[in-house]
Amino acid sequence: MIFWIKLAFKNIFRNKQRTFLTLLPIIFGVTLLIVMFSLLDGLNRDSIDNLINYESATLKIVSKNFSIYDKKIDINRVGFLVPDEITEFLKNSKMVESFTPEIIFTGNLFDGINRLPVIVKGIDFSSFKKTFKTLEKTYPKIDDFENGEILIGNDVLKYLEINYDSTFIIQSRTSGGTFDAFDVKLLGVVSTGNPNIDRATTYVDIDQARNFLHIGKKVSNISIKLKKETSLYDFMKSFEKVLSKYPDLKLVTWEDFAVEIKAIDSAKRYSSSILIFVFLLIGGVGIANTILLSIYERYREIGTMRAMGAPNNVILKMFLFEGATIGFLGSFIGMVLGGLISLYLYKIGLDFSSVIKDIDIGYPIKNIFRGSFDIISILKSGLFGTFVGIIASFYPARRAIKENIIRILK
Amino acid sequence: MQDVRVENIVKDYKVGDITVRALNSISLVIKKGSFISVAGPSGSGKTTLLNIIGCLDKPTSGEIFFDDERISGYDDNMLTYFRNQNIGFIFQDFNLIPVLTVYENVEFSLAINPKFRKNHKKLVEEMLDMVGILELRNRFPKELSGGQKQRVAIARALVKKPILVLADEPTANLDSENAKNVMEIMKKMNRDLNTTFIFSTHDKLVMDYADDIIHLRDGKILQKV
Repeated sequence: MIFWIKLAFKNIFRNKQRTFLTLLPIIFGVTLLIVMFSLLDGLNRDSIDNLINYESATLKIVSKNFSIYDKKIDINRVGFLVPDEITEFLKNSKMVESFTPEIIFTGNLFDGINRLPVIVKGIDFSSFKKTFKTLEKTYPKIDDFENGEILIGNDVLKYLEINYDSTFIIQSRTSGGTFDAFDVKLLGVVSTGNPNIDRATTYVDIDQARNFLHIGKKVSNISIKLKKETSLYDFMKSFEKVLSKYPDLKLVTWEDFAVEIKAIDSAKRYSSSILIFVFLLIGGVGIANTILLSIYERYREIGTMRAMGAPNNVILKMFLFEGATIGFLGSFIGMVLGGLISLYLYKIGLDFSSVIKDIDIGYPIKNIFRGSFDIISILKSGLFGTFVGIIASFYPARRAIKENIIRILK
Repeated sequence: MQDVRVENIVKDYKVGDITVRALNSISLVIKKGSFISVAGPSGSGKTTLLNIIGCLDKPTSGEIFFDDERISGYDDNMLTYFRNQNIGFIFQDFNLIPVLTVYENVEFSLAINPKFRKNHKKLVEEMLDMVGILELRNRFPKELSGGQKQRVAIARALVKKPILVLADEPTANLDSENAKNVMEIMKKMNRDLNTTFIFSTHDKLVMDYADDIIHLRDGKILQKV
C-alpha cells in the first residue's frame, strides 16, 4: 500500500503547475462548501435563538383562533382568560423555568410630528424578564417598568425626533372598536439584533395595555420557557391532560414559529448547493482532464506495467488513487481554509449592518452574521472533495486499461 | 523443467481491407534454461513472435504450451496473471518509470506480484548486486547511462524469478561496449538462475551469445542454428 501511495504522490507532482491548477477549483469549492454551510448553520442557529429568546419563548398557550400566519392581531379574536388550573400547573411544573402573559396589539406611535405603525406588547416586567432576554438588551439598563412608560425597538427611534424622557402617544382601537390613545414616557430602547423586535415592537406595562383595551384579565398568549434539560415533547405530553379541558386553547411551539426560517434555510441551502456543485463539477472535470493527460503522457509506462503482469485493478487503483490524492489535497487545503474562515465567523462574525439596513433577509437577524464551527461537517466536506477526485478519475483510469498493450508499447 | 512449445502459430493482422500474415506456421520447442536469439530483418516477425510467446498477443491460430499448460486458450485476465507469475520483459527503450528510483523500479515487479508480499528489500538488493548496480539504488533513471538503465531493466525482469525472460532488441540503444556488458549479464543470469532467455536482435555480435539462433524471414523460420 505504501508503495502505491508513494507512487501516486510522485506521479501527481510530475507536473506541479498542472496539479496546482487542478487543485484550485477543488480548494475553492470545498472552502466555499464549508463557509456557506457554516454561515447557513450559524444563521439558522442564531435565528432560532433570536426567535426563542425574543419572540416565541419555548412555546405559547394561545387561543385556538390564533394563527402564526395571520398578521392581524385582533385581541377580541385571539384574547383569552387564563384558567387558574393552567396557571397552577405552570407554577408547579418542574419542567417550566418561567412563564409570562403577553397582550399584543397594533397601533401608531406618535411623537407629535411622526406617526409610525408599531406592535405594542403589554408585558409583566418581572415574569417577562425571566422568560425572554429582551429586557437584558435595553439601553439604558432598567430595573423596573411602570405604568405610563414605554420601551421601543432601537430602529423605531431613528424615525422619531425625540429625546429620552420624551412622551409619546400610542393610538389604537380598543376592544370595543373605539379609537383611543394614551401617553407614555420613553424609558429606553431595546436592541436585540432581532429585526422583528428592533424595527417595530414597543413594550408597555401589561396593566396599562389591559386598561386601554378594556379587556379585563384577558391575554394574547402565555409564553413559556422550559428548563434547559426539558424536552419540549415531554412537557407537551404532561400538559395534555390539563389543556384538553380547555378546547378554546392550544399550544404553539417555537418550531411552529420557525417554519418560515426553516423554509428559507432549506431554499438557501438548495441554491448554495447548486453553486457549490458547479464548482466541484469544474474541479472534477479538472481532475479528469489532469488524469487523462497524465495517462496519455504515460502510455508507455502503463503498457510496460501491463506487460509485466500488473492486473487491471492495480492500474485502475493507481489512477483512482492519484485522482483521490488530488481530491484529498485540494479538500485538505479547502478544509484548512474553510475551517479557519468558519472559526472566524463563529468567534467574531461578519458585520453586515451597513449593507442590510432595513432589508428583510428572511432571518430574524441583523448586524452580525455568525457562522458555526462543526468539525464533522468540515471533515464531511473534505471527504466529499476526495470522493469527487475518485469519481472524476474513474473514466480516464478505465481508458488506461482498455488500450491494447502491443499498440501502447510500439 | 519448463519447456516452451509453439505449434503451428499463425498471426494475421488487418491493415484496412488487407490481411497481412506476420507469422506463418511457426513451430518450435525452447528448452528450459536455453539462451535463444531470434534474428531476421525488419518485418520478419521477430517482435510478433516474442509478443505471442510472451502472452502479450494472441495467435490467429496455433497453440502455445508451457510444459503441458496450454496458454493459447487463456483469456486476457489469465494471460495477465500468467505474465505476472512467469515472464519477465526487457525492452529496447528500457521503459523504466522515471519517478521511481532504481530500487523502486525493481521493487515494482514485486509490488504487483501477489507471491511476494514480504522481503522486497532483500530480493531487490540481491538482484541489483547481481547486475552490479547496487550502489545506484537511490538514483533516478534520468541519472543513469543507457547501459545502467538496461541493467535496471534486467534486474526488474528477473527479481520475481520468472521461468522465461523476453528481450526485444535489448542492445539496440546501446553502444557496443555497453551492449557487450548487457549481454554478458544476461548470459550470467541465464547460467546462474537457469532462466530461459529469448531475445531478438539484428546484431551479429549479440547473436554470438546465443545457444540457438532462430532466423525468421517473412513470418517463417528460415533456419534454426
